[in-house]
Amino acid sequence: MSNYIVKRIFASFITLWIVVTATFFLMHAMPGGPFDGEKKLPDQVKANLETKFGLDKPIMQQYGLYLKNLLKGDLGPSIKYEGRTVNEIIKYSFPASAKIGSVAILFSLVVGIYMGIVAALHQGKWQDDLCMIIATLGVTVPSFVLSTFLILIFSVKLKLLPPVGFDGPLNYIMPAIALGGYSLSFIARLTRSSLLDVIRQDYIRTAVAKGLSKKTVIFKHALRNALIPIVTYMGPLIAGILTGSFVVEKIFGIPGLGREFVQNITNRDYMAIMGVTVFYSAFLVICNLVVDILYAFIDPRIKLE
Amino acid sequence: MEVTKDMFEKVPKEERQSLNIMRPSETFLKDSYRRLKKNKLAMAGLYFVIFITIIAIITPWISPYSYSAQDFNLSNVGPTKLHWFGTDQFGRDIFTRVLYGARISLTVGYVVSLLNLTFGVLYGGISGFFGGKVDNIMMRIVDVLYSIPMMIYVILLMLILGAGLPSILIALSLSYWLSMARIVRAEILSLKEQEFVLAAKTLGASNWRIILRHLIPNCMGPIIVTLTLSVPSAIFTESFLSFIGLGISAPKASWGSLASDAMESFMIYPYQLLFPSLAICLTVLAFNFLGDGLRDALDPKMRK
Repeated sequence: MSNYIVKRIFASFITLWIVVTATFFLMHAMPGGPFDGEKKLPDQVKANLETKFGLDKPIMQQYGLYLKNLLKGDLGPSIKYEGRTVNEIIKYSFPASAKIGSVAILFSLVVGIYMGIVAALHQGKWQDDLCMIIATLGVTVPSFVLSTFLILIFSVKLKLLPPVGFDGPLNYIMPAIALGGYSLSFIARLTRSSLLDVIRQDYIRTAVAKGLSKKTVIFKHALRNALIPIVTYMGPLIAGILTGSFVVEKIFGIPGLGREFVQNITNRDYMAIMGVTVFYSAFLVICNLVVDILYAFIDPRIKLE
Repeated sequence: MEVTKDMFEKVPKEERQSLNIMRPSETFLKDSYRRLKKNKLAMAGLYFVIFITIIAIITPWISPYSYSAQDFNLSNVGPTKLHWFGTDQFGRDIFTRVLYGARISLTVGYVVSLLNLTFGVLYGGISGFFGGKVDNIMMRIVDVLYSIPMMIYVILLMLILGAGLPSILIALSLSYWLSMARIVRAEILSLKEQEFVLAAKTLGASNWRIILRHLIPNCMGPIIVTLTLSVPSAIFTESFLSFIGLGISAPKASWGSLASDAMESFMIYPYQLLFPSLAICLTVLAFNFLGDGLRDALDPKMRK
């Protein structure tokens, strides 16, 4: 087991290094430097700025410098906002994203698993159909469409929820639904098919034959094994919530990192784009690592190659 | 006891005929189509996909309005008899723009899926067939790419290539072949141990011939399913990119960019958002129904 964990950690580091390198060279392959904006800067000012950010050095030297700073946890300065570092941008805006994101993950897990169980236990009946219709709709409606129609219905027509802002718990409801909708559908389908698989196993028949109540059989015996595939879905789930935040935070006016990232793209703030990309990738790689290790602990049957 | 001729009875004609195979044997595709036809949702999906594709192709010849002509006397008119879906803030007919949007959105869906098909199938096929070290290295590369948030890399590629249709096609094709490669590899790993591969090898078939003529046709089921389901995901991603300002820009339109343009005033003119969104949802729904149906029809083992 410890051998497996060491291997996974090593692989994660390699992945991170590849990500950082790819991002760095992709950003430098971009046509035009960061200072070629709409306003043409005087040549002297441009040269001074390039010296300031080290852009006049040979590219390999810049790469070495970037890696060195990265090891210290320094993602560099923002080029468009004078005096702000990328670390600060992340520090100020990530908490909002993390809060909304965890509510969305919780929402999609709880509701998705519940819908999956209901559908599996009533296979072929109307409850099953209803849950699967909702699950199908969830994967067909893009998050920005879902967001706007939620605002139209609950804020404009019914005046129940505030359309934008990030003040109270009411502000969490619509963004969490919009962010989690897609994953919810996926989790519901996954739970349903996995539970249907498990309840046909012999040990479930044994449990039923022992005279245990249906509730005990489902929750104590079946669900434990049926939920293992959900654990593997955690990585894609987090990635989905993260990319979803780009549009959902913009629509609901949440001061999070997703909105900041889209803003950086619009501003062509190269250092910030690079920094946030590296941050996102590191975050996901760590999440995947944790999920993999958890998975190995939860399911001893998997081969630890 | 002596066996004499008259102890035998002649087999009646009908009985003899029952041993013959009367009908021509059904091919895999015919058999699958027969199963698909029983699934009403999947057939509805198939008909819708064919319908919208034909519409997208013939749009320039049937649409009464131009997709780019502006008429400020007609800006923001709601749905009427003349303009079925209303007009946008520049007085452009939204119905026409949605039809033109279908051209771009479907082009993205089909082209990206076909490129993914080619690359993913070859990559997965080679990796699965040769196994061992080759497989190990090729799959580690896929694993590394898989753990990277793809959307972010699509965004970076779009920044380098600049907005526009060709960049979208390239960026999406470079990023989305991974799952196809994985699926094909897994299929081929199990298929290559079977006797027909041994037979082909014994007959002296080359590796390429075995991969292309024997192995890949045998994993057509999962390939077609993945292909069908990758069309909506490409359409989805394109609309997402257009929404954050990296996709198609005006006066050209995709469904995503139409929805994104309508966002600015969706509280006043919700119909401008409704129709492009409806187009995305219906098309994605149709492809999903078709994909699910194909999965059941092509590969009965996978049915749950």
